[in-house]
Amino acid sequence: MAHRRLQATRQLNRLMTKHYLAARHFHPMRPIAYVSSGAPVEILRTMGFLPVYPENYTALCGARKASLSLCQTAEAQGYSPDLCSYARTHLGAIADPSAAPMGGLPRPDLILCCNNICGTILKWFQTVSRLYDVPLFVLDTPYVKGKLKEETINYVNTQLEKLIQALEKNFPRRYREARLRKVVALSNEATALWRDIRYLCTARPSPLNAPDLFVNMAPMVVLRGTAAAVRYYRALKTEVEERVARGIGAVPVERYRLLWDNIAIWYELFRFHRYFERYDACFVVDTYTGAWSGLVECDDPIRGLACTYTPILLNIGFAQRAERMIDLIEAFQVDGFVMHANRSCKPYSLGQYAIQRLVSERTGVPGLIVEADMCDPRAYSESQLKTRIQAFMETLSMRDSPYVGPRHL
Amino acid sequence: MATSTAYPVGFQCAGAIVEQLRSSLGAPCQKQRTSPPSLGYMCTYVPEEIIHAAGFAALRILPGTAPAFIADAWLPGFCCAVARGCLARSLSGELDQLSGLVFASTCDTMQCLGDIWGMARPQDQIVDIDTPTHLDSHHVMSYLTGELSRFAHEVAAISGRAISFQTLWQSIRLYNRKRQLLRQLEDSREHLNSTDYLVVINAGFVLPVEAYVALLEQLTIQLSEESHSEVATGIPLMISGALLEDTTVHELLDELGGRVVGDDLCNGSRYYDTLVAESGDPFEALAVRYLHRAPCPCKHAPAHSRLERLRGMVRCTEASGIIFALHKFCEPHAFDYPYLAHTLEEEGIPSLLLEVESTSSRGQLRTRLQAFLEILSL
Repeated sequence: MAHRRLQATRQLNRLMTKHYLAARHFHPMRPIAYVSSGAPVEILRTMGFLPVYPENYTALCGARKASLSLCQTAEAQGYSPDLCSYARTHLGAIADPSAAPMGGLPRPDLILCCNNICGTILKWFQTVSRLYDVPLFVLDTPYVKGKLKEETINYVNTQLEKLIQALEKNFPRRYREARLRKVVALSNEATALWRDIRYLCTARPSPLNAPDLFVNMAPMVVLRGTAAAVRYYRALKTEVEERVARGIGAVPVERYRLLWDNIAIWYELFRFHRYFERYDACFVVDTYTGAWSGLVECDDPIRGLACTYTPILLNIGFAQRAERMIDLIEAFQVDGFVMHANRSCKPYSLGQYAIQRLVSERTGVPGLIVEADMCDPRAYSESQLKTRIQAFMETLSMRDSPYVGPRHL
Repeated sequence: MATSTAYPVGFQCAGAIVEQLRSSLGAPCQKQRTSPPSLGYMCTYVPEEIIHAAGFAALRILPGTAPAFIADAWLPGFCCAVARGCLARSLSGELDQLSGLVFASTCDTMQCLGDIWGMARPQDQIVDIDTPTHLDSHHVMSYLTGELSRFAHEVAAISGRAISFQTLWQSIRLYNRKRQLLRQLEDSREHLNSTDYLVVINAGFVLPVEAYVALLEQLTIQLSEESHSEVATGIPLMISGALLEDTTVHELLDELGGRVVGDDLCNGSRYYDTLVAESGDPFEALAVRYLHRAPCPCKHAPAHSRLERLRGMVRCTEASGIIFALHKFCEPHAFDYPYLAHTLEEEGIPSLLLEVESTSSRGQLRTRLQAFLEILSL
């Protein structure tokens, strides 16, 4: 059975196309800023920069099956095939825009990088900043193990203040706190709506499956802090609520409720998940699209940004990450979880064995680890994955018998 | 600054000292020694001086000979051999003697390894230190100073021995002496072959600092006095990379007629190029060294700074080429490589990329090094 499409998706395509066109054509006077997915974009929006997300663009290249050739272009220039495939895709698109979807991204005027998602982003954006010879602003967010320390907040807070000063100095743009409050309020509204939508999937059957979540997270990343994102998520929420009210599930039959951990396998997004559909399984929740779920405290918005953007999913200790997963498993009544060991993303993937053990021990819910890559299809071995998925689904089907312990893969 | 009497050093020729250092590397984590207790660390952004001031020996964990597959239950296949090798040593029980481990959040892998280690070895005491990615500006300095002093309190709590400024200054002076001697050794690099030089450096991460400084004092004197010691010959080369604890590349170069005349390694010049100022506030002094030392590529330094450093070292050492010995899956270095290699190539400095792994085949390395040396000798 074909994937049940959401009406809102058509609107989403228009929205995203407009976003990429805007960067290229609509606002010739507004400086373009490349931004990492976890950076406090609210500051850039406040000051009238036009944010563009290379991570979103390269995921799109993956979904359009254009990433492989772009990766190879980058590799021909000396970039190791073991580097992050988002970075390779982007570097390939810079080297050969004619081979890239939409002719590549427009040239940036500045780059803002926040290392709360990984250290890779720093190296990737350093490289891009050198290639374009544009300034790179780095927001360093210390790793948070346990409590978020006062010193850490102050360190990030000071950097944000310096960032604003530097932006005002380098570009004819003004910062106004009142404007930031408005942007942050929009950001919070979209974040809250997106959270509500995700939690509508606690319903049985779940109205959405992982591919729906992955496709619909785009405005959360790319248009955070805009009215357009709020409008989109309002419409989407209404549609999803309607599905819940009418008992419409994302998959034809929902017998198993699964959790997904890690970034999507973009080039196989629908096919991969459809394979689970055959076993009547639906991914009702994932850890990735929930990474943009922190609300920003508005009293002191700069400090609020520091407090929200520092302890995000990939910048907290494994114990806390496991804790968040356990909470999701309970809230969404999950029967099993699938972890994508993503060769491209070390912070997300290196600890999965440890987290899998902890989560399974605590919840009794079994987990499966599958190795692949978010944008490089060469790391995806279909028949091998199918065998493993089959075995896992068989385990789940025998779950009426008492659970004997965690599976160590 | 007291030299430990527990490790008496007799008068020896340079060769014998090198042999003594070599044997210290083979010993699994000083099992035969009972004191002093050690704290292990992996990344050189961990302040050894503070560990030492708390009464510990600071022991750098180098990936050893423990079979790496032991760590497969905790790490996926796409993790570097350094993290894998170190964790494997611990899981095989080689590091049971340690009083604890210190992790610095430098690269993604090190950051994750700290957490994985805590879960794989719950019996190990783990201390974290955050070293900022920024290397400039005033507020970075104050953040790092605060972090160093917090770290000192934590380490002191483990040892039960408070760190006074006085003891910290003693430790700083001792480690400064170590780095100074290493710089001196670098100046007489031509008296040692490439392998022996690396062995001497590596032993410094494993031996207690007092014993090592004593041996280095002797070695540097001996090297300058033994006028008969043959001057190493061969094609002069630079070597760049992260940690290169394995001596295979150096052994092959010695064998094939190459000679390492300078390095940009984390167990090399990046470790000893900058000393701590011996005045003012000790934590500030330590912080200044961190911010000013030749940076690891994980740090945010201007794009050209690594290039300029390499270029300068090549000019200074008159190296004919550079070997980039990079660990597979080490992103920070792999991102910088194309730019460094291409720019240097354009300036007439040829380079060779070697991907080193614990499983690297010696035969393959030999062929590639041989070819590179032949090209250089044309």
